[in-house]
Amino acid sequence: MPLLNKIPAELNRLIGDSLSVGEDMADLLFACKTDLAPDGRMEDSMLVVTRRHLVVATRSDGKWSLTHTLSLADIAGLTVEPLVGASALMATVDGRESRLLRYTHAVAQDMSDAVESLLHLIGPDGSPDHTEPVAEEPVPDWSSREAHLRTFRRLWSFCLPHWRTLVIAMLVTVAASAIDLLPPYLTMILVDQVLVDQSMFIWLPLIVALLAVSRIVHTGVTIISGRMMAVLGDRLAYDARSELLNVLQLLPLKYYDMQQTGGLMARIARDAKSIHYFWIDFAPQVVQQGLLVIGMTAVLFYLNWELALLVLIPIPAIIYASFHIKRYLMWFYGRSWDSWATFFERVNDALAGIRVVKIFAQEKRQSLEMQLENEKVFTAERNIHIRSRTVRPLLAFIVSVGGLLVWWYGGQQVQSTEMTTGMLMAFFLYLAMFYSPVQQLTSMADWIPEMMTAITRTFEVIDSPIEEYTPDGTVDVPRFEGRLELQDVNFGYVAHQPVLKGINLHVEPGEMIGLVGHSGAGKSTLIKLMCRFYDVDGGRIMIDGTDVRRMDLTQLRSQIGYVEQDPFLFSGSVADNIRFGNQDASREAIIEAAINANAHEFIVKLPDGYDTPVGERGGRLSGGERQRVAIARAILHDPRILILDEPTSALDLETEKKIQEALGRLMEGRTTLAIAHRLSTLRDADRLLVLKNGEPVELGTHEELLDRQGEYYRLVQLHTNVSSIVGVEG
Amino acid sequence: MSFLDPAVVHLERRDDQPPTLSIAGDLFFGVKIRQAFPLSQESRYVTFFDQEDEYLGIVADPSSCDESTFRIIRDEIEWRYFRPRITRVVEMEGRGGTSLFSVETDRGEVKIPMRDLREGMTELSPGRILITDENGNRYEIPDLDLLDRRSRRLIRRLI
Repeated sequence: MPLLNKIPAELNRLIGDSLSVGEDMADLLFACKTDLAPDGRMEDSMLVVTRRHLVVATRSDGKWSLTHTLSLADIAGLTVEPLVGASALMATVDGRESRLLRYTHAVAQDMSDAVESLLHLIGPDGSPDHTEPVAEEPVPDWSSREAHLRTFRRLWSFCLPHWRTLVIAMLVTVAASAIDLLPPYLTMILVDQVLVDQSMFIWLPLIVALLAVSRIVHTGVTIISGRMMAVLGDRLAYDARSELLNVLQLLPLKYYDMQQTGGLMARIARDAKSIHYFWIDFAPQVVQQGLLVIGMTAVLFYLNWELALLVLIPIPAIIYASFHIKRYLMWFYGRSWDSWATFFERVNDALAGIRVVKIFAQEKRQSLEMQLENEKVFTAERNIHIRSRTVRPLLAFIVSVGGLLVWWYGGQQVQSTEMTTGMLMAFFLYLAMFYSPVQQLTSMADWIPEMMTAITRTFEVIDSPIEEYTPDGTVDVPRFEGRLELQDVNFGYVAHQPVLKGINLHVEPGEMIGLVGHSGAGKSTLIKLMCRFYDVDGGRIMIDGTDVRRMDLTQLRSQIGYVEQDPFLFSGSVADNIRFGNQDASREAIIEAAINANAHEFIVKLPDGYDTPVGERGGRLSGGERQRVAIARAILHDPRILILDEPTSALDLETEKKIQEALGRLMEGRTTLAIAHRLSTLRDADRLLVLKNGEPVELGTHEELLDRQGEYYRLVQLHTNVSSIVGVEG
Repeated sequence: MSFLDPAVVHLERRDDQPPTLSIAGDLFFGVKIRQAFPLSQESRYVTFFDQEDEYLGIVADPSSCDESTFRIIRDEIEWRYFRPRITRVVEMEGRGGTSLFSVETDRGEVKIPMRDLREGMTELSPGRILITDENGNRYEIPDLDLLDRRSRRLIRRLI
């Protein structure tokens, strides 16, 4: 992710001055702030990269200065040297390595992203690489506090298609607030003119009727606005969820490498819901309560400004108290949340591992440990409730002070006939309505950060860059022949830590290549590159002479089949899983594929045959059965290139044989890359590529490599008894 | 081709013995007949197993077999897949953790004990419901809309 940290104005000017003619800061690609000065002081430094230059600047005594200005064309190589507690960025210029800057682990991730982008820029041979643009759209940083404003704008953009409903609902809300102001005023007239003065006694039924009508209208209007906002909120939450679900399928695999599935689930379920709360609870409440406070203040001042001023006296105390009480309680809520989380984790663990618990006869201890967590939850909950039950009456007391002041001063005015009894009553009625919105608005102020954080998290996912499915200049490859070529392929999950180095391989259509090596040798990574879950850092992967990066991703992947080591099945029926890659497949085709995968027989013996639900992740099937369903799925998918990650787990001989047969049929006529563990697969492979520490060390047939007595020979010796293999072959 | 030609598949049955299958002249005694898609495609895809439960073959469209073979297939399936069809829901009562469902089926009245009502009910397709009771017995409502109003209401609350 290219970074665009803010460049201080002074530094901006400095860099602008030092750049060559024809380039200015508009050519800025990215800037990454780091945290160490060259002499090791904790001081801001900055790596700034423009289209043609790399600039390193550092701050000393509050002043910025440039330490390095290099032309990208001159940089022959860039490396990150891991130090202890820090790292250093090194550049090779004119055959000499120089230290550009040092930084701590706190900024290591940002720097790693920056270096990755830089490496793309200078290309593998050191020259600026113009074939691969790196200036991706800067991804908006949703995490900062200032981003809240942007979040509001995004919220509004979600609402825009429904603006009519929103405007009507808001108008109705305003009407409800206005109607709310009417009853106390009518009460004043009722008391003064009708009950005390009796001059307008005839008006009694009319005023009571008006009071009744205002209540009825208010109720109706509240229902209408409530319902409208609720539907709107639900619709917006639905829209947000839809967009999220859509994006989640399109995000590149490397996104998921860095995220926990649980966290993403929470975003879909909970965070997207906060958009609903914003529009249902927050926005209308702010509008309605805000209008009430303004309207009532105006009316109170209109009726009696001196008394109105007295009413306002407790307001600062109420605001202060509400604000701080919420903060104070929040701490306890946090504690409670934590204790619940640990409690659930503990219980979940104990239940998921119930078999282990019973086998080791640890029921009592488990129960005791859970009890301990239960006690923590009890304490946390008790702390909240004791405090909230203390604080609320105190708040009510502050509110009542306002009432006492009105009694005291208003009573005097009534006595001296400066004010009527009716007006005093109206004051009390307004007063009762006045403090509650003030309290509500205050506590809402505290919701904002919490809600905004949730909404922001939702947008963070929605705005993550998705995979580029149809890159510019896409070459149409409707059906592969299956010729594979890996040319000098280099790759690392973190840019400066290569996992694969200099892989060269040419595979003819229909050929089967076995990938061999210790765990961590790079076999799985190579397979991920073939599926284009990641892109190579250097070199290229070609299919039928076309670089995979120039292919439509859907077209590419639809012709690649992948059978995982432990295949993932989706909950649904066996038939649903087999037709996963080919939704239009007929039942005949499904059965045919299952027969070829040696799965048909066990499937039809299940009580519900192909209609049998496989359970979550295929848990109701055995390992061997899952394997064969996955093979049937791959057969039906009919890929031109097959990627196979052979299971390491030992199965019974019968199942093993069936799977081998099935795989044999699956591989027939297809170019196959297989991570092989089984002797039979190794022997059947046309050639074997042996990897060691990400580098290719041997390539040849099983026999050739055994004869060579090199790395492969040692690997086979490690895994099995080599003499028996030779015996089998002989 | 993995499917058997219906023209060469013949079944015979004597009294209440499991049927004998002939595939292009080869005889297999005591065969078992199973459906490949017992829930989603009952009328097609019938598989045959021999006495030892070894797989023999599959016929895509059994109605293309000769009449008596087709009849035997239907009977065998009826025999193997016991799934009474519910015609009316009489009552539903909760009793402790278990609910008891009194229903009328095409096989007679029955009380269905269910520990978890929602878990035991699966909507196979809109309006078609499969009920599995706590003993693993199965019942089917082929079309919810064909039940009376009260039965419909009782079931709808649960799915």
